Amino acid sequence: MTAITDSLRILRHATAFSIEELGAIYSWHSWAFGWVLRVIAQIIFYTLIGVLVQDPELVQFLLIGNVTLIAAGTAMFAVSSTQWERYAGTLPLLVAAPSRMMWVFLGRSVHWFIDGLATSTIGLLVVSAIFDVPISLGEAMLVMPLLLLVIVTTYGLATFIGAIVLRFPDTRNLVLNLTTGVVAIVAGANVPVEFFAPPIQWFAQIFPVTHGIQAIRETIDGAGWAEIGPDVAACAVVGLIWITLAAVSFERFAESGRKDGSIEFGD
Amino acid sequence: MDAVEVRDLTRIYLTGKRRRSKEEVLALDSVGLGVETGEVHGLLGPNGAGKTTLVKILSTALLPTAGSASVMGHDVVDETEEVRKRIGIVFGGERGLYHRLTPRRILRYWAALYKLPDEIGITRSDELIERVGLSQWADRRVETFSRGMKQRLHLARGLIADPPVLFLDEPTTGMDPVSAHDFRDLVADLKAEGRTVLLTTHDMAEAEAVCDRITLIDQGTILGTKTPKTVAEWMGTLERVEAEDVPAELITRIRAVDGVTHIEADEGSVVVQTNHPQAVKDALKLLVDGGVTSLKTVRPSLEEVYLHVFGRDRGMSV
Amino acid sequence: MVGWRRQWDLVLNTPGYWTSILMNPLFAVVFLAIMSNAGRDDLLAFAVLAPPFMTMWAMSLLISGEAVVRDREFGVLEATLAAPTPYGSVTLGRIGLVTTISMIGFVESWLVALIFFDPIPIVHPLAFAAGVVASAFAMTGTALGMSALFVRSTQVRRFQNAMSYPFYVLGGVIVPIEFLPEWIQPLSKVIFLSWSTDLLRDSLAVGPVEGFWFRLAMVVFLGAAALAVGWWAVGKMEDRVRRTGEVAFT
Repeated sequence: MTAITDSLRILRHATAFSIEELGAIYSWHSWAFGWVLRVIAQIIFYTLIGVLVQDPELVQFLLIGNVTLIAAGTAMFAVSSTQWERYAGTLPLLVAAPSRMMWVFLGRSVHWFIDGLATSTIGLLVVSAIFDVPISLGEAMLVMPLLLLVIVTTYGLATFIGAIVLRFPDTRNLVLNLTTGVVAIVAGANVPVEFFAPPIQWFAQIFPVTHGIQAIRETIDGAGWAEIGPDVAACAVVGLIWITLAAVSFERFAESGRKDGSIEFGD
Repeated sequence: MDAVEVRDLTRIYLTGKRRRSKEEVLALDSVGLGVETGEVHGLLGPNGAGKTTLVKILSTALLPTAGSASVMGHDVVDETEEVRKRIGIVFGGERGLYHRLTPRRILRYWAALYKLPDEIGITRSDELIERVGLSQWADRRVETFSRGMKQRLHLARGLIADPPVLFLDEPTTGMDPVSAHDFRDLVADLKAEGRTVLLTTHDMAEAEAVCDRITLIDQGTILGTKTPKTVAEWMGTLERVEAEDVPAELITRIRAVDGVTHIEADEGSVVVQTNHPQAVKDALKLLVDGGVTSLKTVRPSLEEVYLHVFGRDRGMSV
Repeated sequence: MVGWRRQWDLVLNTPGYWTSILMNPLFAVVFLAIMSNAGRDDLLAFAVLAPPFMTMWAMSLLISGEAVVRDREFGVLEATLAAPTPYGSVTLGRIGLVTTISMIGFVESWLVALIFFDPIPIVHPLAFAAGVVASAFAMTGTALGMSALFVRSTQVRRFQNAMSYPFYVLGGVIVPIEFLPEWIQPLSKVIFLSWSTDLLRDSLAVGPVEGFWFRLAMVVFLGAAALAVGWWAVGKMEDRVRRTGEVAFT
């Protein structure tokens, strides 16, 4: 029991710390007029293609897909914020503390949950109003928990990638962008997953967001729980696998660092 | 029981990016060391001597290649958790702090990492903030702090788990003289509280001022453990005198002083090497009496001491 | 154009540039897939042209901010501004180089279409080439204008981040501006991207490129205007730094 209490306490403190950090990264002003505006523009950019093609269904399809990509993409920032630990020079101190470092890493980027949920929800409401896409406030309320699910599960993937990239910190933005780009192609956000050859469709299943987008589309279409449930479950399971892999990777990173001396003091 | 025991400790690093062209670097070569409980022990050596490698192994951030080490009776390889609970680590410099956070947040967070319940974490954070004199800045972001303030926060962080053993790794690097002086008082307080302190430094004066015993290390090898008094004597013995506008006749007289080993003279500017504190006094007296006003004494560098005392020329013996 | 060698090193050592070049084919796949899935093969050319403009925009903005950020990190921004070499020409040199490299995006995008979708014929090669060159010039000028803005800002990264998609929408990068609300179109007209993207789309379409010279002139004119404003602003800042020793942060 104590072990669980101790770990939860670390998770809670790392979360509080990440939220304090969010306040340092953004002011209300820069968040609303810089970041949120840019996110809205991004969703508009893709949704407009539906207008160009003159297909109202495509307008809605692209809107939902890209709102969800925003949620997932924000969670993907955890790839970068995991590296902040290296830039702060705290890795050796974390290794030498009597707790597992994975709890810190699982908690320290949680601020993206807030950011991702807020921006994607605002994006959904604003852009659907701009394009007259019939999404009611009630539907939006139903979508929000699913967006959060996408964020949390994608966060698992992102922390896993973050743990791997800890060994190659210079590649963080490249890896982050390439992953986000691949997800934009295969996850069913811009074209249905079935558009691609079967091997690519299978590959798409490893991304939690693939299942999340499916669940969100079904929710908006008014599908029942029997239809939405399996996708929600798949999203959660895939996310859980990534979170587990992330936890293992952080421990392995610490162990291999102890062996090869790659965790420098003052590093 | 010694607080820290090190036996035949060896650490080899593999360097080089490509796997095939890796080269072995011997960072520690069969090192032995004992730090008594309650003492302030200095680990004195130039950069690259192996000080930090030793501290990394002792703090469980690095595994030894061979040999063993224990902290408070717990092996650093097999009983990491027991060791980690009992040690505090303090870096010098800017690294190791979260610049976007406040001291209060940082200390509470580390308290959780050291498995302290919230009540204790909160009170201890507040006490430590008070103790290191950061109360006024407890809720300001670290990025706005001066060097000395960051250093004090580092120390508070190292003390959060109330550890019996503290490793201070080059703690005064880049510190201004006033902060460095305050720091010495803090080390004395730590000792008074009964903590064992292992301090790495390349500054002889610092080691001499705060340590009970000083172990000299160079190129991964222990050269010996000395008292601060011995180190002070070396510093005095190898002191040199530098002066400007010295008449040639005066230079000849200084050359004759007992204990003067070498004189470099260049157009009236003079460097006098000695091997005895009395020689410094005599040379200074001659210079002052001779009307020379531009003069100073210079303490020897650690490298110079190593060269004279141990016959180690770092440039040659690699 | 000063210090090509140094600029080249700066580009090579900044992973961000290579990110844009690597992302270009991924964007191409996204846009081509959308058009193809919608059964609109007539719009594949639109999909091919959008990514290179995004790459060009992202890379040029990155370089015009990067130098400022680095100089400031090392605390030499004031010194560089006050140095005898005009900051404008140093910056112009490095932006020109990066913008030129970013042209690879057109090739990447075209190849993605060729390999995974349908080949995109370049119906009016001369108009296309002229459009690309004019766009590169206008991009260089615009980025110089932006660098004047960046020098005055302490939040360069945030600026750069916020300036991508809003401009892709306003600049008609994938969807021509006539699909935007009418009240917003005058704003689009002063962004060279809207003229560039329209012109290049027409150069890939069957049928004559109407009003070619006027449209080309508009691209060059808007680029030259931004260049002139940027040059003047940077020059003014240099004077200020030489007199007072500091850059005003606003």
